[in-house]
Amino acid sequence: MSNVLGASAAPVRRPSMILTIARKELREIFRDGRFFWTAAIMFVLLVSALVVGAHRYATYNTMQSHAQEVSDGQFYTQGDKNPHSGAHYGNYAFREAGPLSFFDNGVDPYTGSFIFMEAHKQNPARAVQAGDTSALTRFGDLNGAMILQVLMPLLIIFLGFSAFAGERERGTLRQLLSIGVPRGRLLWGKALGIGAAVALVIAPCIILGAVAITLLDITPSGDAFGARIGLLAASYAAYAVIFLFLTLAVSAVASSPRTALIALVGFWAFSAFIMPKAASEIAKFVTPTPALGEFDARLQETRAKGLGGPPPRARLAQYRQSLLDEYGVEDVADLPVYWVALSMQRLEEMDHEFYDYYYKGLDNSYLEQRRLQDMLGVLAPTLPLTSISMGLSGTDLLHQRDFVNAAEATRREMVTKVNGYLAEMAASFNANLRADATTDIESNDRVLIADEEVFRMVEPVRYSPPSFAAVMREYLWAFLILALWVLAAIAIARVAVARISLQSR
Amino acid sequence: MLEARELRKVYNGYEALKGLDISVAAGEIYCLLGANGAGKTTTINLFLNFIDPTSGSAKVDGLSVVDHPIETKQRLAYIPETVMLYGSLSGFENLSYFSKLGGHNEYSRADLLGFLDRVGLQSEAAHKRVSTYSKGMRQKVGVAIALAKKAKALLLDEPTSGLDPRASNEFSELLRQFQSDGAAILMATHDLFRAKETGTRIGIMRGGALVREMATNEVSHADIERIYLEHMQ
Amino acid sequence: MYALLLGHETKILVRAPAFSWILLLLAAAVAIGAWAGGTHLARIERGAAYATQDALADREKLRSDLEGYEQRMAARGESVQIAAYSHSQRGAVPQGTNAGSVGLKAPEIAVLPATGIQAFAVGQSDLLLSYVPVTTAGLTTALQASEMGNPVDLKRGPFDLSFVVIFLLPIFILAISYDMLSSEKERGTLAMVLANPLSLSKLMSSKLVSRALIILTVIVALGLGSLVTVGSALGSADTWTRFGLWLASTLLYAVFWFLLSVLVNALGRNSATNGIILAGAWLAFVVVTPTLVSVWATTAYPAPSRFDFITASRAAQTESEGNFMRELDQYYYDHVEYVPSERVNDFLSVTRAKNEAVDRAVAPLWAQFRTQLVKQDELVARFQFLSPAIMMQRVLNDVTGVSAARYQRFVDQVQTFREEWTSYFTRRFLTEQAMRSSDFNTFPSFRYVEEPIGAVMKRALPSIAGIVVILVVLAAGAFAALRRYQVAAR
Repeated sequence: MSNVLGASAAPVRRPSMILTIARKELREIFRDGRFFWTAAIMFVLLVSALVVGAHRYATYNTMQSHAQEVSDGQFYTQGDKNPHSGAHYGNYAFREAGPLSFFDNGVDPYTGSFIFMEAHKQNPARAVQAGDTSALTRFGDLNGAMILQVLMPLLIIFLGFSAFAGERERGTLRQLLSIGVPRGRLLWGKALGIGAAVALVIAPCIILGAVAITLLDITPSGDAFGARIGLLAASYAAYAVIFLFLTLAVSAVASSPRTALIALVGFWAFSAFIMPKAASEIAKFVTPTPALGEFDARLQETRAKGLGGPPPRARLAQYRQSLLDEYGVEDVADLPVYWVALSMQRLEEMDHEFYDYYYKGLDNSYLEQRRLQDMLGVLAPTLPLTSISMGLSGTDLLHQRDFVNAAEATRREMVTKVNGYLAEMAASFNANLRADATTDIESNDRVLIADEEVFRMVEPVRYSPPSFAAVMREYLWAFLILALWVLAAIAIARVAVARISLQSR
Repeated sequence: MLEARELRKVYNGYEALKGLDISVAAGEIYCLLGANGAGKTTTINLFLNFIDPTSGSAKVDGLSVVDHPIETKQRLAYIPETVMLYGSLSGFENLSYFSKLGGHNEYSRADLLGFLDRVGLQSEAAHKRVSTYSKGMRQKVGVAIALAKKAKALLLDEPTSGLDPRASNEFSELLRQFQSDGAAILMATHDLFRAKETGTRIGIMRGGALVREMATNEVSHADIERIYLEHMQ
Repeated sequence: MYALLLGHETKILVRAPAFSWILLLLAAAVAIGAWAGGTHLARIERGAAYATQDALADREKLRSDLEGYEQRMAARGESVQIAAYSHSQRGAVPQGTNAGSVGLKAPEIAVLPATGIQAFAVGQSDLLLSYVPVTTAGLTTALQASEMGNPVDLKRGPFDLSFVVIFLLPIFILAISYDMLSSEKERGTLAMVLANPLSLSKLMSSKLVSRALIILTVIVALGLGSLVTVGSALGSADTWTRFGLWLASTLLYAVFWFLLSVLVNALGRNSATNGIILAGAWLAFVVVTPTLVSVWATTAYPAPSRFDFITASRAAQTESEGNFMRELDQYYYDHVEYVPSERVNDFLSVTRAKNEAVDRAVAPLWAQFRTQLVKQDELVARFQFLSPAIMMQRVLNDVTGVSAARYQRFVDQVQTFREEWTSYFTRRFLTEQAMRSSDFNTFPSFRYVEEPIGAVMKRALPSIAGIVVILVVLAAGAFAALRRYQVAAR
C-alpha cells in the first residue's frame, strides 16, 4: 500500500500537504479582521436563537400539557348527562411540540395548535399562532435552522470567494502551481481550511444545543431519536459542503474576486430566498387548493348530496328499511335498538367518508405540493434541506397530519362508543318509558341520563409521532437530491480547479 | 507652469515626500528619475490633487491645486503608465468623452479623428472597442486626449514602460510636439536613455527627496547613468 | 457637463450585458409577483364568494318555502303560524316563519372587500379570513377560523410584489451599484476622468442619478403595468391614491439602497469589500433586524395562550349551563328537533342567554389578545426605524389594505353589525311576530365602510418620514465621506 503511494508522482505525502494548505488558509482567515466580526455575529445570533427556541419550547409544552390535563378533566367530569350530549360537549386535543422544535419550529406556527373533537363534525385544527402576531413575523423566524440555512452559506461564501480568484489576482497561484502543488490537493486543502473555520463557529453552538437538550430534559418522542439528531447534523454538514465546494468552484473560474463574490451572493439569495417562495408558487399553480370558503361549501354540498352514489338521506332510509326488515317491525319505535342513536351513528359514518375524502384529499394535495418543492431542490439546495430539517425535527406536515389523524381517530372512537352505548341502553329505557305512560315531558326521566363514569370508556387522545422509517420514506427524494448536490458540487469544483486559468483577466 | 514648494506627504507616519521643491516652465520636459517608492508617483498625484498634501503646496499656472481643483485641472493632462479607458467604448468614443469632460465641446467628428490620426492610430482601429487594444494603442489614445485638451501642463507617470522601442520612440516624438506647443511636461520614468533624449531637465529622487537636478544638454548618457547609480547606493 | 456625464454613464451601463439581465430579471420578478398576488387575491375572493353564495342559497330556500306557505295559507284564508325551531326543514309550517331560526340559519356573510391594489401584497390575508358569517350566535368561533393554505407555503411566504420590492429590488440595485466608483478606481479610469475639471461628488452623483433614473423609471413602468393587469377599481380616486403612495414609498426605498451603495463606495474600499459590506447590510436590514424585532415583540408581549382561552370558555360554558340549563335543556340544545313545540321559544331564549354568558365570560381574554397585539404593534412601530425593510412592510401593508389596522376595523364593524343583526331578529322573535317573505328584503346587510385614505396616510406617515430622514442622513454621510476619498491608492 505504502509502496503504491510512494511510487506515485507526489513528492510529499498527500495528507500533510493538504494539511499545510489548510493551515495556511486558516491562518489567513484568522488574520482577516472580517472573520472575527462575522463569526462573532453569527455565534451570538445562533446562541440567542437556540435560547429563544428553548424558552419557547418549554413555555409551549408547559401550556400544552396543562391545557390537555384541564380539558381531559373537564370532559371526564362533565357531570351526569345523556351520553350523546357528552359527545357534543366533546374534548380538545392540543398539539405537543416536537422535541427538536427548539431548533427548527418548522410549520408549527402556521398550523392550528388544537382540535375540537365533537359529535357530528370533524373540525380543522384552529388557533394558528402566526395569526396572533404582528405582520413582522412574516419576515421569518429566528431559530437555529434559519441561521444555519441562511447565514451559514453566506459565511462560507465570505470566507471562500477569494480562495482562488484572490490568489490569482495577487499572482500567488502562479507561484504555487509553478512549484508543483497538485491542483486537487490545493482544492482539498482550501476546503479543509475554510471548513475548519466554519466548524469553529458552528461547533460550539452544537455543543450548546446538546447542553440545552440535556438541561431542558427533553424526552425524546418517536423512535430513533439519536438517529434523527445524527442525520439532522449530517444534512446540515452536507449543506455546508455544497456551498463550500460551489464557492471554491466559482472562485476558481471567476475572472476576479468581486465577480466570484457577486455570482455566489446571487446564488445564495436565489437558493435561500427566491426559490423557496418561487417553489411554493409553482406548487400552488400545479396543485391548487381551495380557500376555506370554497372548501366548506363543497364539503357541505357533499354532505347533502353524497359522493356520487345515492344521497345520504336515501342511504339512511335504506338502512332504516333494512333494520325494519331484519327485526320484522313496522315502526322504528318498535325496534329493540334505539333508532335515533343508530341513525346518528349511520350519518356519522357517512360523514367519515366525506371528511376523509376532503381532508385527506387536502392533506394529499399539500404533500404533493411539498414533494414537488423537494424536486425543485435540484435548482436550490436550500429546498430539500428545509424539508429534511422540518421532518427530522418533527415540525413538518407529516407530524401535523399524524396529530390531526390521532385527534380524529379519538373523536370517531368517542362518538362510536357513545352512540353504541346509547343504542343499547336507550332501547330498554324507551321500552320502560312506553310501559310507564304517565311520564311527563317536563320530567328528566324522559331522556336517558348516564353517570359521567360512562365517558371513561373514551380513551384520551394519544398521539405518537411518525416513525423514523416513515420520515425517511417521505423525504427520500429530498435526501437523494441533497446527496446529489454534494457530489455535483465536489465534481464541479474539481473540474473548475483542473481548468483553472492562470491569466488574470 | 508646474511648481511644488516644500511639498510633503506623510502616510500613517511614513514620510513619502520630504519637502519637495520643483518647478517646470512652459516648453520644458522635466524627467523625474528614481527607484520604486522614491516619491515620483506621489508627486504626480499631488499635482492632480488625487491626494491631499500634508504641508506645502503644488501649483499649476500659479494656482494652488487644493484651492482650485477644477481650474487647475483644466490646464492639466495626465497620462499614466497604462492609459485606462472604457473597454466597452471605442477609442473614438473615449476621446470624444474625455475631450468633452475637459471642457472642449467644440470639436467636430473630423477634428477628433484628426487627433487620433496625429497620434498614429489607424482609422479602422478608432472605431473598435478599446478592450481589443494593445497597450501602445491605449497610450496613443491617451496622448490624443491630452492633445484635444490643449493642456498647458502634462503629467506623465512612466508612460513608456512596457512599450516596444518603436512605440516608445513615437511617443517621444509626440512629446516634442507638446513641447513645441509650449506645454510644461513633468514625466516620471525609469528610462535613463529616453530621459536624456527627450528631456530638458532631469531630477533624481530618493526616499522622498530631490537629490540632484541637471540639464540634459550639460551631461552625457554615461554621466547620467553614473550619477544615478551613485545616488542609489 | 452634467448631461455629458449622465449620457456617458448610461451608455456604459447599457453596454454591460449584466445590466440588461438585471433589468430583465427585475421585470420577471415583478411579473411573477403581480401574478402570484393576483392569483392569491382571486383565490380568497372565490372563497368568500362561495361562502356568500351558500348563505344566500340557504336564505333563498327559507324564503321560497315561506312564500309557498304564505300562498297556501292565503288560498285557504288561514293566517300564518310560527314554526317551532328545528334543525330540519320538515313540518307543515316552514322555519322561515320563526325569526329566531332565520337569525341563526341564514347568516349574513360579512366580507372585507379588497382594495384596488390589494393584489400588490398578501400581508396577513393568507391567515386572516376575509369574511365572517354573522348569525345571532356569538362571533367567538367564527373569529377563530383562519384561511386555509399549505402551512409550508405560509411559512415560506408569498412571492408577492411586497417581497419583490422589499427583498429583491435592493439586490438588483446593489448589483448595479456596489462597484460604481470602486471599479473605476480599480480599472484606472477614475484617475483619467478626475484629471479633468470636475469634482468627485459630481461624478458620483452622475453615477447615482443615471442608475437611479433607469431603475426608478422601470419601477414606475412595472408598477403601472401591475396596476393595469391585477389592480381593480381603476376609476376610483382611492385606488390611485393608494397606488401613488405605493409607488412613492417604493421609489424612496429604492433610493435608500442607492444611497447606501454611494456611502459604501465613498469609503474607498475595493469592489469585493464593497460587495461584502453591502451583502451584509442587506442581510442585516432585510432579514436579521426584522426577525430580531419580531422575536422581541412576541417575547415582550406574547399573545395570551389560546389554550387558556379554550379551557376558560369551557369553564364558563359549564357554569352558565349550571345557571341556565338543566340536563334536559342541554339535550335539546344539541338536538332542537326534539324540543316539544310549546317549549321552543323558552328554549331559544335560554340558549341565547347561555351564549351571551359565555361571550361575556371570555370577553376579557378576547380583549387581551387585542391589547397584546396592539402592544406588539407599538413596539414594532418604535423600532421600525432600525430597518427600512420594516418601515416598508408597514407602509406596503397599509396602502394595499392588508394591514392589521384595517382588519381590526373590519372586525369592529362586524361586531357592531352582529348587534344590529341580533336585535333585528330578537325583537321579532320575542314579540312572536311571524316572519313574512317580504321581510327577507329588509334584513340588515353588512357593508364594510372603508377608512378614509387620510387615515391610511396618517399611519404610513411615520414610516415614510423615517425613510426620508434616513435618506437625508445617508446622502449627507456619503457626500461627506466622498470629500475624504483618496483617488490614488498609496
